[in-house]
Amino acid sequence: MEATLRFFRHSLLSYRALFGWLNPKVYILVMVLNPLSQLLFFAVLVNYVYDGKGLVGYIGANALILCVMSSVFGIMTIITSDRYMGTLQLVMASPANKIGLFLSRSIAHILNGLFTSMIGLIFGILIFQIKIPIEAILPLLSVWLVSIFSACGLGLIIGCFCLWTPSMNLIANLLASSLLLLSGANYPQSIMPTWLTYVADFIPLTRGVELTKQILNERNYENVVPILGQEFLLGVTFFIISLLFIKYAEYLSRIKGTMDLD
Amino acid sequence: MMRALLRTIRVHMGLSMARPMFQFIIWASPLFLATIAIFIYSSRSPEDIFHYVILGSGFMALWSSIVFSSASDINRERYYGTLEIIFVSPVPFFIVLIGKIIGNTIWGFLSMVISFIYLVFLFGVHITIPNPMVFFLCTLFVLLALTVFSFFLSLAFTLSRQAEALMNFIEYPIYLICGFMFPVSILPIWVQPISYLLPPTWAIELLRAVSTNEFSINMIEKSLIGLVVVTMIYMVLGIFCYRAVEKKARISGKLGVY
Repeated sequence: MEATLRFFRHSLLSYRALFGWLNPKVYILVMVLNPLSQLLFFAVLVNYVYDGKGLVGYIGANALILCVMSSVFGIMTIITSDRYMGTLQLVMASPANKIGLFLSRSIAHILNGLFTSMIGLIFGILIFQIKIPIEAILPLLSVWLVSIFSACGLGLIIGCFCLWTPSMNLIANLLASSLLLLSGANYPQSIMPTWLTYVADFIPLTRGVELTKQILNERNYENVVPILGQEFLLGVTFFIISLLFIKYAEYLSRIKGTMDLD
Repeated sequence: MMRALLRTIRVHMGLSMARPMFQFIIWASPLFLATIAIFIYSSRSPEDIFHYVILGSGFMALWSSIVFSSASDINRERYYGTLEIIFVSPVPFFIVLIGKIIGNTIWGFLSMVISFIYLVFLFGVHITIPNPMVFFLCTLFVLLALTVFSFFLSLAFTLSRQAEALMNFIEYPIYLICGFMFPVSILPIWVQPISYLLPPTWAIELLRAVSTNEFSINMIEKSLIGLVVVTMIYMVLGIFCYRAVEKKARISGKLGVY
């Protein structure tokens, strides 16, 4: 019980350490208003181009994509902020279980991503006067939770790159743009070239976006369980890879002593 | 003076490109945006694709270079601790500032061209510009108008403590309000006056008007006059802001701090 409590306490502390020092105005601008303006832009665009066809699904898909702020940029800070403040060495040298440590730090970002996506959806519902059936809410939340978990897994892998490269902003922005492009949030997947759809299959959020469109546009819940299972497996794989990366970085830092160096 | 301006442009272009984030904005981001736009507009007419995909994604690239560099360059110098040195150097401060903005605008324009070439060669987009000479002259004027707007933004951001947060925030709202990828007329009626207070709205409308198949000089009259008027307004506002920054430096002695 104590271990579980410690897990969640660490998650909360790590999150507060990240945003506690920030001005709430900055938090609202970056984590709420900026994602909402992105959603509004794409929603107006697809509404104009597709003449309102499938708008509910596109708004839902774009709301899900907003989680990128947490699942890429937020989760990256799990490693980068410690490194920047010079405390990464202490964290790595501590006897604490690293897998539990990094997983607990990820929890807050997964929940924050879910919160941003939900705010986005509510905003879209209010602005575009669309309706979502009550029975769709639970499946939608499950789809989003698993998709954001998977995206956070990939975000953590990218976060590990800070141990080897100083160009983290570049890499994080590349990933965020790739997720927006490959997930098909603003067009049917069938428009993309076949080779690109193969790449998209290995990217988080692609399945989440597809399921969101199916749930909201077609009221189709049949694919939720099998596709969500695939997304969960993808997420678990990403987390395993990221933890292996951290282990490798830890090993390198022991033999080269370069954990805090570029 | 001219030599100082050219040197500033050259040095600043090198300095900007040394930042990985700027490299992303100039080389990668326009390609992502152009690809998303072409997928969304894939079933529309070639003219719509030119107006909303090629010009739209090009303007997004140009705007990003303005927001993420020109608008924050003074703040960056402040962060480095070099702002006061630049300010008291024998070359007038506005020359250095204009040099930086022109450097970024050249990068932004190159980025626009890259996205244009990418769409033409990779996606086979057809280009129809009935009068290339007028289009070229209008493009030059658009770049000049955006330089003036950047000059104002850069100084206004110097006066604001929230510059960095604002810098991250004004990307998508401008894409939206200025109608980079759709006509402004589809926006709610109360948003449209705000759109027409901003030079990018007139600028993209001018380039769309000049590239329509039934082009005539009358068609560009409205957007050309609109762009001239708002540019003059921002030039006056820019001069006011420049004086305020100068006052902050010389009288209050607070150039390096807020």
